[in-house]
Amino acid sequence: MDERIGYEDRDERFEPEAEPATPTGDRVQGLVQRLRTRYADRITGVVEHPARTGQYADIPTDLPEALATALRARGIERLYSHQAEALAAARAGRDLVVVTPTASGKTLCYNLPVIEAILATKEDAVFRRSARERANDLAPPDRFSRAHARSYECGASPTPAAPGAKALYLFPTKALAQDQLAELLELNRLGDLGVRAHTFDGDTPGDARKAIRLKGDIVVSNPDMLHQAILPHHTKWAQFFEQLRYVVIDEIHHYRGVFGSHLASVIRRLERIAAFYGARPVYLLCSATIGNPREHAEALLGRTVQAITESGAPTGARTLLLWNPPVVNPDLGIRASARSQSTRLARLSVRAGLKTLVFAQSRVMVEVIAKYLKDVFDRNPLKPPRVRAYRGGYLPNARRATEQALRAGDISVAVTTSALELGVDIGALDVVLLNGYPGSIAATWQRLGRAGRRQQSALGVLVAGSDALDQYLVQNPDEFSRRSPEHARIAREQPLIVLDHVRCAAFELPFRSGESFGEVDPIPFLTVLGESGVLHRDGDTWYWIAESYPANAVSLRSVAEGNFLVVDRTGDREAIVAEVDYASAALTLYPGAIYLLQSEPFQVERLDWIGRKAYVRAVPAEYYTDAIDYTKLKVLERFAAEVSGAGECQHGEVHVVRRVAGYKKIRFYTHENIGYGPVNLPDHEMHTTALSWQLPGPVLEAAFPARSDALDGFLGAAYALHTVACLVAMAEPRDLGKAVGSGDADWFAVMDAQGRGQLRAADGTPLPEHALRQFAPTVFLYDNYPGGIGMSEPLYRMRGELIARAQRLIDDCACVRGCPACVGPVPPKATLRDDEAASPKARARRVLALLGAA
Amino acid sequence: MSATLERLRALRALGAPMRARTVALEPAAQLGGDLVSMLRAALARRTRNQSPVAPHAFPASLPGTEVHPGLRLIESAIDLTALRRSALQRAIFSPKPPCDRSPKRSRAEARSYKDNEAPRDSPLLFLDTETTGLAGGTGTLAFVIAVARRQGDTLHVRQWLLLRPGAERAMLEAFIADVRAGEDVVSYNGRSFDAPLIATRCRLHRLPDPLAGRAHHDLLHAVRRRYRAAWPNCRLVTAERELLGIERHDDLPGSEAPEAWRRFLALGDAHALCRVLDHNRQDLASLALVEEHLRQPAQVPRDDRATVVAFADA
Repeated sequence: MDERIGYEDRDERFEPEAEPATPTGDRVQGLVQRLRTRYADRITGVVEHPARTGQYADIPTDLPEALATALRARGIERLYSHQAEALAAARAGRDLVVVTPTASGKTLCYNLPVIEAILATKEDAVFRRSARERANDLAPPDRFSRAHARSYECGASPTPAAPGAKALYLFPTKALAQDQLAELLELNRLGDLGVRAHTFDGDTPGDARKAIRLKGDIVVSNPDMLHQAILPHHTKWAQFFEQLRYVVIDEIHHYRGVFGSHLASVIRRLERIAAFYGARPVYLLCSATIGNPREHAEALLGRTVQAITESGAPTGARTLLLWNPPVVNPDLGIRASARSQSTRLARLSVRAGLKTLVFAQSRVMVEVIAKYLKDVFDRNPLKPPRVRAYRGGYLPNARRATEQALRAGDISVAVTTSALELGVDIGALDVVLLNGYPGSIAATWQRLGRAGRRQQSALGVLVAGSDALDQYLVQNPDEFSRRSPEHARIAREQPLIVLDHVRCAAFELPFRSGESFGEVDPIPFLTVLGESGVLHRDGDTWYWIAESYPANAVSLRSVAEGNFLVVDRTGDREAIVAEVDYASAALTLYPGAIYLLQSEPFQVERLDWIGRKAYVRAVPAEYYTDAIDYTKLKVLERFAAEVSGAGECQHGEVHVVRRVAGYKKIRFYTHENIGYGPVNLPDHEMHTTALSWQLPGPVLEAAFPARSDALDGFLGAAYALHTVACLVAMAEPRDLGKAVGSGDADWFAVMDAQGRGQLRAADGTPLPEHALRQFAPTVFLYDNYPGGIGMSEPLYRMRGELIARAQRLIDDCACVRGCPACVGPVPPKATLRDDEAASPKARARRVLALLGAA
Repeated sequence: MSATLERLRALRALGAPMRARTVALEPAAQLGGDLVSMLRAALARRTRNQSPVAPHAFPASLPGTEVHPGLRLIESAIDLTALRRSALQRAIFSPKPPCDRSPKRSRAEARSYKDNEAPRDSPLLFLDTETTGLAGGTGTLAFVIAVARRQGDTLHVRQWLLLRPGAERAMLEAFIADVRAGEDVVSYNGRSFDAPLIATRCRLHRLPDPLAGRAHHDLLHAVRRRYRAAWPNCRLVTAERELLGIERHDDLPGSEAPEAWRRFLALGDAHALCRVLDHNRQDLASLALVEEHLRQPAQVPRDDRATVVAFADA
């Protein structure tokens, strides 16, 4: 569908620009009405949430006066019910998790109890300090007081430290941390509170670090910093830990899968260190709406938690439209792209004077949509831009500037990736457009939650893409409303992860026998570490004696290979314009790639892989590029194998390769494919452990009329097995990889977005099934982390149960031929025989039956 | 399961590092056997190629006396004159006479190290430690803490040697009891390394830091100021060679000290550990001599022989 500027819908040309005086709520309602009238054929479902009045509570009279003043200066005369509930629970020393939507004043739920505790102890302290001591705080440091300060820091303080209250705040990203710090400092300023809050992360300069350790009341940091820099040097933080009263962890839904398992162990180490200094902090957690917030919080902490789930904040009416692009080619069943719809909706929304946010699924798509919108709204270079793109890869300054502009209301529409899904404050928006289904119900509601100023109507539109999952959801709107947000899962006792952290914990403090690590018995782990020489057992205590620094070898996020810098060489300058993480580099920075920055095209001229730099030059390109990549497996070693039905189940070590094969050139607006290019970059390789099921050729030939049918069955079975395995292992889908291929990497199979299985040869070129002499496909489930993280072994031991569960999943599913909930997306009906026995669901069932108990 | 366990144990034996001396495991550990064997297998996969270490035939015995279970104290006296003379003899015949060959000398650099510190005439405590690593953090410990004091030309050295990590508290307490009031600390790179380490260890044992509040003369900085332009590096070995003409023979490098201690813990083999003590003692002697040298403002040599002769007359 042609999207050039000249082509505008008849309807759009007559679209009035909104009267500025009209209230926003009315404008939103007006837009909703217009859309429902004019595009009724594209709207497949409407979900409406009525407006809700607020539930309030009075500000407690015993709150310190300075804090109450600060609140009033912020315009807060009453608390929301959930804020009052959180304050009461924290005061009573109960660990809690607050689960309320974005923009419901979650931060006050933890800031209030923390600041209250700090002020209370400072009031006591003030009376004890003499005027001389206060003056000394301001005196310039000299060498004598430096020596004094050093001794103080190392804990042998000449005078015992006054009991105070300190807090540790942990955020998943630096952006969020900066945001929250700004919030704290604002409160501080308004009430003249005297609370000392600082960020402590990789960017904190050396001399500031000492001051923060000694004097900071609130330390704002992240889990990686806690793991690598704070805990292993805890004696330098002695004073801080002695007085640690609260630990605040925000966005806990972010810590799922392997990352969450790591955090659970980091918290065990934190508890251990706090106990060494005699502290027992209270944990204040916040979560977005997920299916199991209390369970998840309890899994992270290892103890019971009070959940506060009812939000007292008032909300305006919210309308969600499920939008399916129209069919443009009825013969082939091809629909218009989601992009075309999102762009049009954004134009309508901006013309109605509504602040709009568009979420796209990839960084490339952000640039493309932003470009089209800029061509409409930012034609005059002298005026400030109304359209801004926002994504990972932009430098922090650029991102802060966009956030600022959004808060100030200077931008009409921002186009973003999931980078703006997390709670950075961007003010309130009226309309949120989702270009494609984000992949989970939880993420969908979180993004939609960005729309809605207090008590005013808001609009969200989910525009379906052409792939089967999107189509399934948008064509089954009841299914969409019924689905609860996904559950977050972590495996608290994952042995290899616990081992890594027991190693770190032993470095921090020796382990005495009888001591437990959280609730885990550390003896087996200490035994193995002793045998490997890093620990030495003396009597009943285990000591760290190795030279290395264990925290360096453990990355919480399991990705630490070094970011790439994008260097602009246009003209004569050399300026760093963006940063790309290692995993994305091969997909976006190959020589010849068009890299878009705020929709301006730059071409990658040279990629220095070892040096982690990509050199680009601004070019007037008419096209953008999209990489083609695939993943294949090769079995290296078999640890164990057992008969499984008519086939075999194995556990072993595999070599996984992700290769970028080449790229497509796609012209702007027409989206024609105008060429291909090669990519010659190192493969992303890793060794890991996997379990696999295989059926011999003759068995398959007897059971299926054609190899393509068997392949479809295998792909469907793989999908079901992967789903149940993630459930059983308490892993996130991305932690467990799945693949179908031959065990020796001769060929592998991919399911395209339409649900059709395709064979590929080892180099990625398509392969017809009959070309293979030997056809013994294998389905692999592998730990998606180098070296493995111990998921596949327990899954192997439960192989029988996995098959049974997968069969139950398929049997219990209400669909007829198959769906994304059981065997994966299925090809549209028209291209398949209408025979139920030949449906993807039946084929998967047959494969599983062959693999099940004979 | 037992077949797998045997195979895994065999795999580990192929690439196994030193094993801890066998300690009877509590029944609880055996119950966790399944987990243990799984962990062993996983670790074996991770750390596949490590060459085995062969123990010495005859383990050496350690010097000094046991002052506490697991703690030895080695006291010795070093004659600094003898040390100076033998170094001088080597210097006269060696092609590289020890002198200060910095091309430029400003007034600032010509000052003695004491001019940069508070003017004091306090008694000096020379300090050096041997540790399990350079990483810092709470997992690094000192297995040798050594102090030395001068009486005229005799250097009295006391070295505390840790035989087991469990005796660390006793070692720290002995060290704390030994340090006298009013003493200034002299070290080489101690302000950045040894002192913070001792502070951390004391903190972990909830003991007061004996170095807190004392003046600390870290000679590395004075040496850097004067000789950084002339020498390839400012390590103590370099300083003792250039300034004092001392060449060590058969010295165990400092970087091998951690491994020497671990060998002793695991196998009872004390050969390398004795060499660590010798190395440490020489470090203290050189420290004392470098301190003496730096006390004087830097000389500008007319020619090399003149310096050597002047030195001989001293």
